[in-house]
Amino acid sequence: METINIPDFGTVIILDTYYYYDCPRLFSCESLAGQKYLSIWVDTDDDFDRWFYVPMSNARLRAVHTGKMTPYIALKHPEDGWVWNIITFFDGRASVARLHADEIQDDDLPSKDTIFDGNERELPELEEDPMIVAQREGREVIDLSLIKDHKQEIATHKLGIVLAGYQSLIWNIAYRNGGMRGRIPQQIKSNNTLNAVSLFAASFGVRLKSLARPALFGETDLTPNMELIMALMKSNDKDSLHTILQKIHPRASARYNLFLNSLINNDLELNTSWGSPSEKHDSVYLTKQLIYDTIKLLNEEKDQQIENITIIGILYAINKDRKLFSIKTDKENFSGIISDDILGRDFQIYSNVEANIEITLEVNPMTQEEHEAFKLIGITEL
Amino acid sequence: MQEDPKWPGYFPDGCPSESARPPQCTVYRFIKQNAPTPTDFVPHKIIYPRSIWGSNECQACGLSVYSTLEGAQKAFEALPATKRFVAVARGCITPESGKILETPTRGNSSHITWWVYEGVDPCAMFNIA
Repeated sequence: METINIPDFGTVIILDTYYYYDCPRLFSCESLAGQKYLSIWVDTDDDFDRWFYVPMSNARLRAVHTGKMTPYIALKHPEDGWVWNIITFFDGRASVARLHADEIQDDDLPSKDTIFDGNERELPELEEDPMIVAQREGREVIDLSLIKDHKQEIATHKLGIVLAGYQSLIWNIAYRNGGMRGRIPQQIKSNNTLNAVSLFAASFGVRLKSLARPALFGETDLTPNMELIMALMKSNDKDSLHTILQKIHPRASARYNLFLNSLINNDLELNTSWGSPSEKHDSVYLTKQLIYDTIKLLNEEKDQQIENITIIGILYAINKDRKLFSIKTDKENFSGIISDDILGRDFQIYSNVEANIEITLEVNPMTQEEHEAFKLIGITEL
Repeated sequence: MQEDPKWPGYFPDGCPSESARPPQCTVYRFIKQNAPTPTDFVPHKIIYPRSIWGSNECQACGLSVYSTLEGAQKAFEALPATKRFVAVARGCITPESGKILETPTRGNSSHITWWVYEGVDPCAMFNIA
């Protein structure tokens, strides 16, 4: 998305560029407040360019865009009876003034023969652009397009799994400083919660928005986390993925792996577009091949999803045949399997022990419930 | 041994993209006098040094050229500011000059962006069409 900032006029987002000469020279654009313009380069000198920005209704702009009206007519007869005459100086200054229609000279207009091709698409639904909506509402906006055979329907349980997995990924990305164990604090969850607000055809698109913050604009709590997620999804080679995994928590890595697997299991590709009130934006398309490749790379990095801890407690149950153990500490019980490496050792039941435990995080893909699997990998009697 | 060509220091990393390719073609560009001068070949990023280009920075480092005279004339008629230009110059650009990428617009399918290597004088490659 291309924007232009003009001092004393504001920022406009370019919608369509019709003529380009070292920069867009005849184009349609839209202010953050939603006013659309047809803009044209009308003059130039040693230290400035001069432009007309002509406010236009959607209907008028659509007529020009589709070749039903020439730019000459649209500029010569502005709907409001005037145009913005804007001089942009090369040193960054600008001069902005109104110019009445009867003051517009013919040599400041395109030739009467200039017309745009009328056989192409209609104007896009501009309100759909996540960046524009994010700017207007001060909320993060994420469009998730779940693509499968261009069908505009999706089984409810599949949609649920994908959305729950995406939200869970965000929460775990946000919980960067936490441990492998324990719940994500409610405050982090509430600051990083997304609401599904609408559906669109794409083939099955869901628009998500962060919770409203009526008084605040700019970067939200979610902004840096969305940056990380987009960077994560764009990392599809070993080096870049390894680099980004260093910035997120191993449990987020596990969630990402799970999320990608949920896409594969449901035969889905994913197109994500994100816009932020901070003006940051990004998009990424995960094809099936990219998803497969990334899962493979994540599995190679899986060691990072394992945490080792040392505990002191009482060994109160042991079953060498079934390779099971239980150790009770002051605060909690640890039950799991015994590593083959130490299975041959003698264990003294009810003894005080210092034990090394390997913790692996497992996630139920349906419920998103986390489960910690414990493996006893070392033990010393005290 | 011949040194590899370099991009000017003001080009952002990764610019031009890998899809750009060495040119071997005739192209057209507007000029403000009866013969091409260096001022006709200054990228927008240099003209507007204070602008924030964002994702368009790379294209602002390139020069617009048209692959056909008809395309150049069409742009000439569509853009009123071209009244300050007196002619269209024709240039034969070669792989030694830089890289190009077709960047058509809705109004003009012949638009090409040309990124010029450091030390290359683009002006010398053009004559009045």
